[in-house]
This record gives sequence, structure tokens and C-alpha cells, in this order.
Amino acid sequence: MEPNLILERLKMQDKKAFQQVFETFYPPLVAYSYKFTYNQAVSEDLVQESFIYIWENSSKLKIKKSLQAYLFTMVRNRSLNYLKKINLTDSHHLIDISNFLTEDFQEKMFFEKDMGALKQKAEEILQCLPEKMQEIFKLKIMHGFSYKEIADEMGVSVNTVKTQLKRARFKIESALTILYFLFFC
Amino acid sequence: MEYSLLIKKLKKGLDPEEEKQFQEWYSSSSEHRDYFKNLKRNFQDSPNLEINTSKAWTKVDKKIFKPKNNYWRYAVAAVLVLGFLSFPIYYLLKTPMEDENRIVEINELESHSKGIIFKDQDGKSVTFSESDSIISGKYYQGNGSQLKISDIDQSVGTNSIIVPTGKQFNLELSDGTKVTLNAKSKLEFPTSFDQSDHRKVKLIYGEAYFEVTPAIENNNKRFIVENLNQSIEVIGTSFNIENYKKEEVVTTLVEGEINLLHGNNKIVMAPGQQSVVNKQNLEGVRDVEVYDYVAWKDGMFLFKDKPLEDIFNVLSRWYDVEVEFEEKALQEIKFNGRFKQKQKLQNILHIIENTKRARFELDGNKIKVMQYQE
Repeated sequence: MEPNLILERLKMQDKKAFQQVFETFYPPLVAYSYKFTYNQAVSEDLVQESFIYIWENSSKLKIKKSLQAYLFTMVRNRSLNYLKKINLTDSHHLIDISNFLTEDFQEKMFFEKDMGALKQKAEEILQCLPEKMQEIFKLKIMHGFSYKEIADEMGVSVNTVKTQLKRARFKIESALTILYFLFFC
Repeated sequence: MEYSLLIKKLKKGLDPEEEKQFQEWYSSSSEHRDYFKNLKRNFQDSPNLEINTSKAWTKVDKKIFKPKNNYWRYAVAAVLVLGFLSFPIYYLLKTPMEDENRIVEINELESHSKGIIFKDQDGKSVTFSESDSIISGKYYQGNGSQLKISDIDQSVGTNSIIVPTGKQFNLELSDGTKVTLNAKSKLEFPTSFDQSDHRKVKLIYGEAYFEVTPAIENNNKRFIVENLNQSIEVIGTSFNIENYKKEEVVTTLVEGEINLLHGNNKIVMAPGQQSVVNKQNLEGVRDVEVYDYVAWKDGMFLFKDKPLEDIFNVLSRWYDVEVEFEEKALQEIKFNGRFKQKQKLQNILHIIENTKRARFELDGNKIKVMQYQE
């Protein structure tokens, strides 16, 4: 279903549409939140509360981008609130950077002003990758292309795309570890 | 405590100062310890969470649509007390707008799907919506909410306007008569009245409010509104004709004088009177509170002691919804209320629901009316 249409249907308090959105986004949102909370029960609760909020306030919602981006942003904020509760802060945005580079959460949740700096850091890490690998990675993660689309775009086979991505992820993991140290070495 | 310190602890170890800080945090709560343990286990690879979406949905489903507390009960109690105390003033101040309800104004209607259709005398049809700024042709000019017909010579054709669900439309005829058309209505009218000895328009279906220019300004030509079963002959006046039910026409006279013609009968109606004609038969003429029947032209739904069935008949013309009553008895529950039309259906449903006498489920364009449950 078209995202804007879904939003319209939510505003009409269409429960079926709401359930559909819930079923689509619940698992990825919980997985996303878990990267902050490391507590599945907490993440499930706060994702559920986010959905309830959306349902109950659908008429008032002003969603500039997509409903998806809105959901991810809301879950991120609530997850950060939980961290605050357990006296943790992530002022270097390490969790965001890590999510940005390693998960399939893509640009879904990118939204705010301070994300510019974060993106830049992520870009810096990407610079460490070979050029072709970099490009494949960007097409996949940042622009949401499918394997097939990337293969066509770059004139390589789908298998090559897959291997390159796997390697890219591995390299990023290592780069991330280095990044973590950058902040406190 | 910085998240980065936890990573450093895992990856590299902390210096004594940092370790002290960590221990303080770590020992202060079991939630902190759990966090660190899980972080240690999972932080570099994606965890395989077992997420039970349908169980979560059941939980969410139970929580929505049920007020978390009795807030409304208190609100209602408060309003009742206030209402009691201010009783005399309330009646003194009674004006058409007096019980403007507690509705928050919300920008726009959701259900604008179709536009207003104007068919000109040459049979050309134009569909326009509120976003269209200017509509013009050789003898007409307007925008998405109104159209004015100019009086020009040698035009004798018939025009029509069809107003869809959820809209209203203002039309000024070539004689200066103003017509407000309610949702789901169709009016036929000639471009010019010059060629005939009367001014005749046809309300094919729906509801219209007329402010007719006096005959004396129009070469003594009477204004006539034709319906399926009746004609209204006007000398110069404001009145409302409602013809939503196939065989029933309700005419309400606001001011002036009109003659109601049906079959061979002619009845003179006075201001404040309402006639109901049903299948050629005049059911009767009675005195009514006129504003109740014409509030719609001011953008309001006004229900006075109306059964839910009637209320939904009105709402469905505006919001394009179908209604299903779970039990027949629910159709009979009566309500009073005044609502602005330019708001979400959901708001109106919520307000009715808060009386705790019925409950609604909206699914696409279907509304299910059910028994209220605590």
C-alpha cells in the first residue's frame, strides 16, 4: 500500500490499515530499539507504546517525510529516553553510527539536524573501503536499491554484489571498533 | 555514564578513574548490570530476537480505543455542575450558536474525493474542486465553492450542478437568486430566465436553500422550484427544500411567502412553517424551529433529539461512509448535538461515544454501531 494512503487511512481510524502497519514495522522497530536498550521486553513495550500513540493521535500527526521515518524516529527517541533512565548517554552517537552502517535500517530514521555530523562520520568510515565496494554499499544501504538493481547499475553479477556487500560489512565492523577507540584513546 | 566507556570496558579495559566510575554505575542497579551483560553478549553481532508480532498486536489492540482512565466521567460531571449553576444565563444567551460544542477545530475534511460537476447549456461538463481558483466560461464565473451565472442575451439552455458527498456549493443564478446546495444534491437551472414568463429551476435530488430575489425586480416573474412531487411558487423569499428520501420533500420557509403546489392543491405557507409532502400527499404543515433545518448552510450539523439513524443519514452524506447497526434498537437512541462540518468524522464519533450510549468501529468507509461496553 502506498505510504501516504496508509497515513490517510490511519487518520480515518482504519484499524485494518493500522494492523497492517503494525505487522510490517513491529519486528524491525523492536530490533532497532534493541540496539539501544539491549532489553527486548523494554523495546517491545516502547514500540507498542509508539504505535498506540500514533493511533490515538493520528488526526494531529504532522508527518513531513514518511510514516516509516516517523516511527523509527519516535522509537529512537523513546529508546534514548530509556538509556537516560539507566543513566547512560551516547553523546558521540556511536549507536546511531553503528546502526547506520551495519543494519538494514537504512536512511529510514534519518531526520534530524544533528544527523548531518553523524552521516559525515559514517562517510569517513566508508572512505576506508575500496571504491567499488563503497558504491555498492551506498546503493544498497543508503539508497535502498535491490541486489538486482545494483547489479544492473554497476554492470556486475548479482553474486558479485552480494559478496562485495558481505565484505563491506566485515570491514565496517572493524572500522567501527577503531572508531569506538577514536573517542577514548 | 557514557555509552562509549562501556564499549571501551569491553574492548580494551578502563583506566582506574574510569573503572571507578563504571563500578559506581554498575553496582547501583540490577537494570544497569543486565544492560552491561546483554551488551557484552550481543553488541557486535545482530541479535536473533524472537519477536512474536501477533501476540504484541493482541496487546496493542486491547489498549487502543479504551480510555485509560475515567477522565471523561469527571469532565462530564464538571460540565453538568457548571451547566446547572449557569442555568438562567444559559437561557438568556440562547442564540443559534449558543451550544457550540467542545470541538477542536481541525483543518480539513478528509473525504474530498470527487469534485463538483457543472454541466453548461451546451452539455459540456466541467469538474472542479476547492483547489481550483477560477472557473469561467462565456456566461459564468466562479471558483471551487461558488459559481455566478451572468445574465446575457440569447442563452436559453439548461445547466446543472451536481454536488458530491462532503461538499456544499453556492450558486448565484442570473436573476440574482442565491442557492446553497448541500452535499449529494443536483439542481437544474436555465442560463437565463428571459425567454419564459416565470423563473423555474429543478431540484432533482438533495437539499437546497434558496434566497430568491423578489418578483417585482424581475418583471413580476414568479420563481418556481420543481421537485418530483411538488412545486414551490415564490414571490421573493428564503426557504429550504430537502428531498433526500426518494418520495418525501420537506420544505421549510424562513421568510417571505411561498405557495406549495402539489397535485391540484395549493397551500400558502408562512414563515416558520414546514410542509412534508409524501408521494403526492401533503402530510401536513407544522410550525418548526426554522434554524434547525437550515443550519447546514452555515456549515453545521444540528441534531435536536434526533435518532442515531437520522444522524448517520446526515453524516454519511458528508463523509461518504456506510453505516451498519449491530442491533435495531441502536437506531432509535436519540441525541442532541451541534457540530461543525469542517472536522473529522472521528471527532464527532468520539463525542457521541463519550456519552457512553453507543460505540463505533470505523473500518475503511464502513461504520459499525455497537452497544456501549465499559
